[in-house]
This record gives sequence, structure tokens and C-alpha cells, in this order.
Amino acid sequence: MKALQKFHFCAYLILLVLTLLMAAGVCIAVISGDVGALTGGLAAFVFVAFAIVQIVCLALYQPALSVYKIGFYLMHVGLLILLAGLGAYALGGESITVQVPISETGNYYRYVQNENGEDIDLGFAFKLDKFTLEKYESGSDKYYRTDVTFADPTTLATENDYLEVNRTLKKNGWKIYLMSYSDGVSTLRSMPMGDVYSMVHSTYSAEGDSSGTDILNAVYADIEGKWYDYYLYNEENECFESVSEEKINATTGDLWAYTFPQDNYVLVYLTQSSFTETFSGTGNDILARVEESYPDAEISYYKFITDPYRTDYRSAKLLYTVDALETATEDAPVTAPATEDAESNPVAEYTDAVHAYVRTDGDGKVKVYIFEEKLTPDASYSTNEGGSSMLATVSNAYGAAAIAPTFQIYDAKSGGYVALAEEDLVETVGVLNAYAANMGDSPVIFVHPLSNLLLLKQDPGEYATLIGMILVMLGGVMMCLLHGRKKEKDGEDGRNSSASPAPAVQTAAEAPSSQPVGGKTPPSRPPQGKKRKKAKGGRNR
Amino acid sequence: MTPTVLKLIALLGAICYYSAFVTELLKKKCPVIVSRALWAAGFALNAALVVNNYLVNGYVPFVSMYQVLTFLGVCFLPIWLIMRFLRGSGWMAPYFMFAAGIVMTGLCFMDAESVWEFAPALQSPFFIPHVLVYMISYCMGAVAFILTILSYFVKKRDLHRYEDGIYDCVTVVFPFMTMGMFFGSIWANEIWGHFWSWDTKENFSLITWLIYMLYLHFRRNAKLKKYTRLLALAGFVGIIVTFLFANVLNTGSVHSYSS
Repeated sequence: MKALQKFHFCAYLILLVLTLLMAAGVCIAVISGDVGALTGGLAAFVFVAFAIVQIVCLALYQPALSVYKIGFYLMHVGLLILLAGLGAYALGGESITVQVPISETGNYYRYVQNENGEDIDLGFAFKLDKFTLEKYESGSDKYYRTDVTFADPTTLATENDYLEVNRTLKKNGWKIYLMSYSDGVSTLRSMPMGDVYSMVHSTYSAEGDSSGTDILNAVYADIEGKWYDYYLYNEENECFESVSEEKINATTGDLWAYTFPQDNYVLVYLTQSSFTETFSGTGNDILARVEESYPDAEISYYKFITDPYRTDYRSAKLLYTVDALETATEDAPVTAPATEDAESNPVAEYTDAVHAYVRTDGDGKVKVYIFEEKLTPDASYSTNEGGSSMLATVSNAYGAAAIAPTFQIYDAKSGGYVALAEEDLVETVGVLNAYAANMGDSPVIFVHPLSNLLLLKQDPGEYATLIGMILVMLGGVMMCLLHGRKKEKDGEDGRNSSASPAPAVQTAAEAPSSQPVGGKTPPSRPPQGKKRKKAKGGRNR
Repeated sequence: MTPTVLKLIALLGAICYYSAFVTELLKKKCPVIVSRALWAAGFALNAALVVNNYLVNGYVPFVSMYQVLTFLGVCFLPIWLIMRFLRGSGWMAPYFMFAAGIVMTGLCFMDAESVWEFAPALQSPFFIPHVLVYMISYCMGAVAFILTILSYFVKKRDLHRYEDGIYDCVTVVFPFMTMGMFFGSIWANEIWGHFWSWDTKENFSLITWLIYMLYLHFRRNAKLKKYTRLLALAGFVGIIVTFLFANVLNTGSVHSYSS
């Protein structure tokens, strides 16, 4: 018996160590901000160790059969079943997230790709027909649902159903969840790439002798009633320099203006040569795209600083690292990074989306300007009749424009935008949202097919997990109800021992006369059991 | 009701609870009916805030931390009544009153204004039981904590009574906490596709659950029993971290529907 007690002593200490380990892991994860790290080895270790300790303890404990121990049995057996269910999912479960466009006339989906890039045959086909969304006045989601059509791949028989956030569907062993939706704006907010419309609040272009005056007049609407500063790009110094209105008035030829409203302050950047290309995405995306587009060019990266309070560096500088840039001075500018070493390129430090605007010089030099601003589109369009309808709407809006807009479509796989030819747009089906923005001198229409994020899950241990949980909960209820019904006569570990006297039930007569700090001695607990007698001279309060 | 009126009600409620606590301790000098009447008055004021929250929402008043705390305060009296009749824990009344008073005091410093926006994920039958059982569990955890603190100051011969009281509380805390965790887990499996997501709040709730589990196991071992009160203290710290800090820390929790 002593050996058994020692064993339990050790087992409880192991549980304590596991709990402390878990607590330490969580605290470290929270402090370091890497909560995801918990899902790895630590969690698995805690679960497995917990299960082993419990099994061994129960095997050695061999609790006596008693109706008063029903809570004990249910909780422990339930926990083991629960852990077995979770283990079954860990070993044989599958969970796949897919982005599916909403399109009544679109294709059915039968194969999905798992994390390893393998095509998984679902054994059924489905398509999402219609998306219904209701929002609160504040703009947050109130309710959404998606109508689904399932098709049997062999009989081609179809079946209609719908998904809601709290309504999953089961099909062929797969459980289908409606996780979220993507209508463009919400995608951009949720995706790591951030806003991609344009850094340009307004773009003005004027040609001819009086372009400076024209552009000042055009910009006036944006700066009226606010503090403002003008910066003109100096080709020789490769940076924007503060200039007076007089100098802008005297400027001739092509001129572009970019206004950056900052609360009550507006920065106006002017340049005499436009950007030739734009890219959006994380730093690594941009590096890859620029390298691909200009393989032999000498590439320099610049960062656009628009902080009105940083008067010393309020210009585009050569980008080295963000820190280095902020400590650079006019006299000691940071040098361009080695573009061959893309991994060490400071542009790679941008893990959120930024916008890169490319300028090419005649001598083979390429300058890439990095913008971090988040902005709003100039216009938005929406259609549920596919790309042809969208093209007609946009063509109508830009009918009189000198430059026809180009299209880019959101690519869920890459998390960025890819060019979309008009003929490809026409073939795009489903519900489309589009946002227009001026990128350099050209209007660009960013097209977002409305889509749903679905989770397809196969969990062989789901029922075991659920049954385990229900048993544990029932055990808890029983434990709560039966507590006190049978006094712990057995003492330590439920066995005969005098080391740990059972919590005594005291009557008022037995209650000690001493008083605890902060109040009088608590009145006695009445006797437990069906017949409860009120103690003489005491009140059952 | 304006925020000022709501705060005034909370303040009056807190005063009633504290007064009930004091009069309960002075029971030889003050009739028990006085303390119970004060407790009832505090409960009525607390319940008025809950009803107001319900009317504002048109649904269960769990939209914000303020509303959840308001509901937490109102739980103490009914739980004490049940405990009293089922387990004869009537002597714990002052500690229930004091805990409710602390909660009501907290309400006086909180912003009562909130916009009820019932996110799609919350529109589930599991929402109410998940929060409700956790509230019951937290109530008893608070009372266990107060008893634990007092147990360090009482004389040795009274220690058993307090330890039993703590044990009585924990045998309610643990099952209800288990239910809360599993209701949430089953619900998570229905909306997010997994029973457990290692979210900050979930992790802290698991740690708290493990601490109370250790309490129950240590209680049954002669050598370890002396550490149970430390675990009861640690458990309440876990409750506070789970209930408040996980939201305040803003760690991107999936539970951050309200702040």
C-alpha cells in the first residue's frame, strides 16, 4: 500500500509539472507573440504524458466499485475516450481549407488540394450558388449564408443545401464549414498583404507650358484649409526636395502630383516622370517580381517617407533597412543593397503588403519606390453577372477617359494580384467586386471574385471526442451532486489511513469559540444527509 | 438609462453588498434579517442592471465585459441558496456577499455603453450555457479564494472548517469549469472545425482547469494535502488571467468578441 501511495504521490507531482510546463509555455508564447508555437511538440507532449499518467494511475489504483464514485468513473473514463478521440484525429484526420468562388453558373469542385499539395478526391462535387450577407449599421457582419449545390459524380444527381457559420454539412465523411467570405475589402483587411489599391489619393497630370500652374490649381481642392508642403523629385539627387509654389509654377512639361493627407496636413509630391509599373505584395513578392521583370538591370530600392514631422528625411531615400534609413542623413546616405542577395535585401523585411512603383531610366537603371500607405479606392463596382457585365460597367465609366483602364484580379493562391486581359475577364463568372485606383498615370481596376473560405474536415475521432466530453461533464455533475453525500471515511487515496482525517462535519455545539480574522467564527455546518437537524442554540445561516 | 444612473445603481448595489457583509459578521449585534435584507437589496439592484442590459440587447446580456461582470455579480445569491440547501454551506454567506460587492465595485469603473452586435459565430445554442456555467464556476472560485485567504489567518482548530469550505467550493468550480470548457470546445468544433485551437484564452482556461484538477488530486494525498490552499489561490489567479487579462492583453484571441 505504501508503494501505491508513493506512486500516486509521484503521479500527482508529474501532473503538477505538466501543468507548470503548460503554464510556462503559454506565458512564453504570449510574451513572444508566437502563440502558434504551442500547437507543436509541447502540446502533444502534455497530452500524451497526461494520458499515460492517467492510465497508469487508474490501472494501479483499482478503485472500489461504489455508487458514490460514479462521478470519478465517468470523468476518468471520459477523459481517456476524449484523449483517444483527439489522438485518432491527430493520426488519421484531414483538414483542408479552400477558397471557392460564388457562381451559379460556375464549375463544380470535386478535388481539393491538401497542405502537402496532394489532390484529394472528395467523392462528391459541389458549387456555391448564392451568398447572402446582412450587416449591422457599423458595418460588421450580422448574418451570412451560402447556398450550395452538391452533385453525385456518378449519377449526376444534384441536391441543394446551405451553409451558415453555425451550420455545417456532412457529405461522404467530410464535414463542411463556412469559415468566412471574401468580397475584396474584407479580404484585404484579413490578408497579410493589406491594402493594395494605390498610395495616390489624387493624381493630377498636366501637359504643356503651364503644367505647374495647372497642377497647383488641381491640387488646391485637396489642400484647402490645411497645412501643406510641396516636394519635387530631384533626378540628380534622387530624392524629393521641398520646393516653393513659385518653382512649381515655373515647371514645364509633364508633371504628376501625389497628395498624402495626414490629418490636418497634406504632403504633395510632384514628379516629372511617371512610374512604369506597379507591384503589390510582401517584400519578398516584390523582390521576386522586380527581379523577374528586370533581370539584367541595376535595381535600387527607395522608401517613400511621408511623415510630416520628419523634416530632415521627408523624401524618398535609398532604402537599406528601415532602421538604417531612419538614421541616415543627407551627408551620409545609405547605399543601395546588393540586389543579387535577395534574402538579405531589406525589402524582404516587409512582411505586410507594400506597394512598389517602378521607374526605369534610359541607362538601364531601375528604381523601385516602396510605399506603405493604406488608401481607399477612387470608385467601386459590383456585379453578380460575371466579367462581361463588369467590363461593360467599367467601359461605360471610363468611356471618355484618355487612358483605358487595365485589370488585375485577386489570386487567392498567391495572395496578390495578377494581370487580367479583357478577354479573360469576360470569361470570369460569378459575383465580382471591383475597385478602381490610379496607379501612376493609368487607372487600374482590381477585380475580386466573391468567394467563401470553406473548411473540409475528416475526423475519425470526432464521436469519441464528443462521447468523452459528455462523459466527463456527466461525471462532473455527479461529482458535484454526490459531494458530501458520503463522507470520506477512507482517508488518504480513498483507503484506510489516519494521515488525512476527513473534513469533519461540525455542529454548532462543536464549533470552536475562537474567531477568525475579519469576522466571527463561521457558524457550524449542519449534518449532511437526508435528515438535517438544526443544531441547538445555533442558526443555520 | 444613462451611464451615470447605471454607475449609481452599481455603487448602491456594492454598498448594499458590503453592508450585508459587515452586518452578517456582526450577527450577534445585528439581526440576521438586516444583513439578508441588505443582500436582497444589493441583488435587486444588480438584477436591475442585468435586466437593463437584457433590454438594451434584446438578448442575453453577455455582449461586453461590463455585461458579463454584471451577470457574474447576480449569480452569487442564487448559488449560495443552492449551496445552503444542498450542502448546508449557509455559513459562507458573508463571503458570497463580499465577492458580489467586489464585482459591483468593478462595475462602477467600467464603461456601461455597448452596442449589441451579435457576430454570426456567437449565434449558437452553446453560447448561453458556455458563459453561464463559467460564471457559476468563477463565482465559486472567488468564494474559494476568499476562504483560502482567511484560512491563513484563522487558528489551527478552525482550519479544517475553512479547508472543507474551500473543498466544497472547488467541487462546484471544477465540474462547472469542465462543462464550460467542453461546451466551448464542442461549439468551436461546429464553427471553426476544431475542438481546440490553442488560443490564449483557451490555454489559460486549460491551465486553470488543470490547477483545480490538481487541487482535487492533492486533496486526496496526505503528503500533498497541505499544498491544496496554494492551488486554490493559483486557481483563482488563473481565473482572473483567463477572464480579464486574456482580453486585455489583446493577443489576437478568437474570443475577442468583446473587450
